[in-house]
Amino acid sequence: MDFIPDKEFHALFDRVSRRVSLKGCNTPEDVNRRLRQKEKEVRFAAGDNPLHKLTASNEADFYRRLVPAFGKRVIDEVHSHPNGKIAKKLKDKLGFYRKWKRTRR
Amino acid sequence: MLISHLFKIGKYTLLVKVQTMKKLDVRSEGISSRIPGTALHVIFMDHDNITTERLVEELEHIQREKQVGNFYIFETRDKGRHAVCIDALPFKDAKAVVDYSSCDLMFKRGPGINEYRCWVLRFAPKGNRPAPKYLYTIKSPYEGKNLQSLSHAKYLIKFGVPPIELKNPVGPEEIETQEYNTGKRTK
Repeated sequence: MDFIPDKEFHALFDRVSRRVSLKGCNTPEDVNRRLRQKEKEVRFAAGDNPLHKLTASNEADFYRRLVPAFGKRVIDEVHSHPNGKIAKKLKDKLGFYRKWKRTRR
Repeated sequence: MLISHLFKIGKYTLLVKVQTMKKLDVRSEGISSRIPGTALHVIFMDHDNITTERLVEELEHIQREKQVGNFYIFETRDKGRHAVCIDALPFKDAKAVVDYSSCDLMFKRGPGINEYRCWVLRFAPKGNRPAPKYLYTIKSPYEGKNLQSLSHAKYLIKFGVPPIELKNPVGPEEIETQEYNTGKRTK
């Protein structure tokens, strides 16, 4: 793989970096729990059908369901690049929903 | 595998490169060498296909030459070893130590390829391969001479490494992990 320019690796490896606090961890179980806990916090893509998650009956419910509706990779991307393309797209979607909600009233 | 071919079309030259690579079909996780909030790195080494005697000799020599602390050795497969030294060094010095060793050549290039600019050592299983296991420590007379990463010392507890008494702790109690795609390997 020596001959691939470095930037081409980024999409292939699709790396996601996270920070995990190890404060108060004194046993292997503590460290393992903390690492798994962080992974769970980021892994929102629960449920079998993402579209199903968007069928909310009220606004609070919508926000609650919206985040799980997006894949883990999207959420990771928004966390790591809050001003990036994906984050902006997500914000646009939220803005669109609010507008839509107002016109319905 | 890389295939390249030059075509001459009129006054233009067209270079076509076709490359095949093994599919990266497994997701795994590793820890970053960087100490969060600083520009310091701990020393990570990934040795493939090395005997214990050769590894110990080499790392003891590196400890004497580069005056770095203890190395903690982990088994990744039959003759695959990870070596971790929690001395916190500026990037240039950490790279000098890694380059001095006979560890995997692609691993040495890691920070140049990785967009987070660090070396990464796996701690999770990879396909059929289990997570690394702690084997032994190579003690150094220079233990505590350099700054030592508090976060990486805490992280080593995960593998059952005996508690490390830090003489010069540095950095927060926080580590950086990285999740990435990798190739599925058989044991």
